[in-house]
Amino acid sequence: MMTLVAAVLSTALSLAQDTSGTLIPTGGGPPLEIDSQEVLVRINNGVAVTTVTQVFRNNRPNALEAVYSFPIPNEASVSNFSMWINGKEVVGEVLEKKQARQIYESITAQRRDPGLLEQVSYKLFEVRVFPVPANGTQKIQIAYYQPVEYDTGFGQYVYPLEAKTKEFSRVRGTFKLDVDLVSGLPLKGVTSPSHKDQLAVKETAKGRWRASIETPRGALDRDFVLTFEHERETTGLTLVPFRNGGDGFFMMLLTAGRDQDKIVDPVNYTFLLDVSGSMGDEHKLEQAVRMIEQLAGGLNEKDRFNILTFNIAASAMFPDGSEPATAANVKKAGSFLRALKPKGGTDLIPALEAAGEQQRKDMTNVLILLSDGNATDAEEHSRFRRLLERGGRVRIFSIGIGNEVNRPLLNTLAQATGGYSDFVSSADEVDRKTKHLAAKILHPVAENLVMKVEGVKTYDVVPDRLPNFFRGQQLAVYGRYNGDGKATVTMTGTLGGKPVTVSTEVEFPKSERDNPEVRRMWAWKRCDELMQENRSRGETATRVDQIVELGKEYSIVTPYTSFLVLENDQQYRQFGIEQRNARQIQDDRAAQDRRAADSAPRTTRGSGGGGGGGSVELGFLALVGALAGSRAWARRRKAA
Amino acid sequence: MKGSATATAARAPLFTLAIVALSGLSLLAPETFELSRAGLAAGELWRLFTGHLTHHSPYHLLVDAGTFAILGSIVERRLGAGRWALLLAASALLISLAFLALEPSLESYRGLSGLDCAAFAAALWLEAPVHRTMTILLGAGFAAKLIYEQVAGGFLFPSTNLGDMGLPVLSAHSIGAAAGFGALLALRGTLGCRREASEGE
Repeated sequence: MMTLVAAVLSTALSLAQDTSGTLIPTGGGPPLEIDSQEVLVRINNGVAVTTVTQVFRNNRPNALEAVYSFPIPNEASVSNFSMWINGKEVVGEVLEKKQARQIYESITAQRRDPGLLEQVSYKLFEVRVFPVPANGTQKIQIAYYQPVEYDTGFGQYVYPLEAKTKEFSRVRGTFKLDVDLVSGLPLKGVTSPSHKDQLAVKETAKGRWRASIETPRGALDRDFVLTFEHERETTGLTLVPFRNGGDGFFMMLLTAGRDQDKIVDPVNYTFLLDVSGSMGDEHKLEQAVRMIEQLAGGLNEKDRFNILTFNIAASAMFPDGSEPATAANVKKAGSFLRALKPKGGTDLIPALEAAGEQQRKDMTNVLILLSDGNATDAEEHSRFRRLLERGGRVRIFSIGIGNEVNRPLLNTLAQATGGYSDFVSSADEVDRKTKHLAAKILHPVAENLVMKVEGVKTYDVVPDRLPNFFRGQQLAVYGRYNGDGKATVTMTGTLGGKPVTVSTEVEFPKSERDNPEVRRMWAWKRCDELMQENRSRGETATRVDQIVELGKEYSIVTPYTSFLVLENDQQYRQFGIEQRNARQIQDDRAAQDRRAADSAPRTTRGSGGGGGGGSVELGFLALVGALAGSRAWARRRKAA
Repeated sequence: MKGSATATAARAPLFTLAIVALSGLSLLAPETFELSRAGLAAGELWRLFTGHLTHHSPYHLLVDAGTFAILGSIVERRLGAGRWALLLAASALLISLAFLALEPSLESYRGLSGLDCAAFAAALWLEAPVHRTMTILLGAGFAAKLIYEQVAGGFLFPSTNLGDMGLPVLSAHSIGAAAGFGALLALRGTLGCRREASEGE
């Protein structure tokens, strides 16, 4: 029997911009109810894989076409899209976008049932599903990868739940979220600032934690935030490899600890605060104001500061330029900030130009930008580009507030000026983020970093140029390797202007199949770097081809590639589509199952890969003792 | 058989002590002798047997080899050195093959604990006719421990971990026990022993 399930993405549906993980009939009407929503999060030493399975219900007497749209958080990469057709999971495959659409259209013309998932913007994906059966359900699963944020001894994972409209804010059946967390570094604890009362947490083995929420008619009204604290801040390097035949993949996690002194020379700070109308939503302005108050309160009296507010125009608290950070001026800033009212649109260009005028030649200049950052045209703006080219005089720390932030824009601003970007979710802990930011502003930064690996050949390393490295930060470097065995990793650079060299020995294994996340993360980071180059230098056919090839090879959805779901294996063969993703998904799930069955983390192996040992433990020793003891007792009794 | 068993019981368990000594020596070059897929692929088949003698650290060696000394002495006194060696070789081979088949993510393996469990299963089997209640109780305890480990996905006493000496392989104990028991049953005829032979003690 011909199935009548189809999914296709549409870039034209603007209503999807206001939704989050919802299925909306294209013919109008309210969104479909969510029967159940299960979220499985597996965090393996800095990489989180989130699998979201949702069942939607159509209570209407007629079949519907609907658009499923969902946002992707925190630089995540979609790695799988599955639909259940006739009760069976069908895994999507990544194709070049145009080819995927052509195949999709050729099939839908025959009323068959493909599915097509495309990227709408850098963070929004949509799937058109047809039909959702009358009085029936449709099950959809999406998986995405993301690096876990790490800062000053804390790791943080955010699952975006906050629905914009009350109608979407509740699951009809059960909402379930399960986190399986593996950490090579010892953890002090795991908690959720957003769902503290609903979250059950258990340490199942050393370095392995499980956290879970399960609620009938679960509310989807705020983001789920999970934080975990390491037992100590460590400075060092962790190697997480993956190799399953051929050349290997690696992730190196570099962590900066406490061994840095504070900056002593006075600094000229400019706080650039977005006061546009959108900052009035979800207490964003209050959060930003609180951050500035705390940061300004920590400044030295010899430091200078000014606060610039902007919407479509910018204005300064001290019109004649920055003033010393005296107690009176900091108090004045508090009154100024509390009187602010959000209004108007957002234009970042005049704001950055006005901030540029605040900089002093006789001091180190730091610009702290706080915005919900929806000035999407800024990147295209020639003045924006000129502003960045002037970078170097001022270091920009950009702080994104809320979930609608244009992350690439804020990241570009920070990277181009040797600064740092961070993002505060609406449900986030503002105080902790402020503390982290203060640590970065007040401590010297490691600059001009170069990583060298000797003993094993490494290549295609991303990022190509290492960014500045701030106190408390974790830097993830991805790459490929050829050969195996011990290798020396040397990091050189400057810290506070003085040359530093750090060297350590790691072992690249011949075989290691437990970390397939590393393979996809490497490919995604490569794609991301190529896309950033396209943005900053203009799109080239070579770069686009590389992105398409990486997308197809490693199943990554990009602006140039899409997921296509066909009805069955036969259809994939018919269109000559190799089912690479289906194979990778099998590998990924097998590795996840192996890890789930382990009693201890198998992933962080600073000096080895894939080795294990059988060891006698206390329970067995007790049995052996009982056996030997009872024999001795029997012998004595017999002798007596 | 009875006389033979009594005679062997009087001797020192030299073969067991030799194995313990070899384990100590293999600490000098564990990479050469550990059970590794790469090594086996290169034709180094001795690793199927020698992998059990290698360890990740002196502490790892101490607990594994100490346990082996106790259990090996019991079994060697029952069977004699030759038959004990045959049983041990068969168990080592079975355990190695089982690891290769059942632990696909394991690139290499070290440790005597698989053979410790094989020896424990053999000792219970050999002791059963003489110390029936004790062996039933210990056998039940051992089975409960293995089942718990498989169900819970961790050791009963997780504090006894391997520290920096590699990753604990949870299946080592159940595979070892099954291999020891299986080898004993398969070789019963060859070993020329029956449990009744143990009655000499």
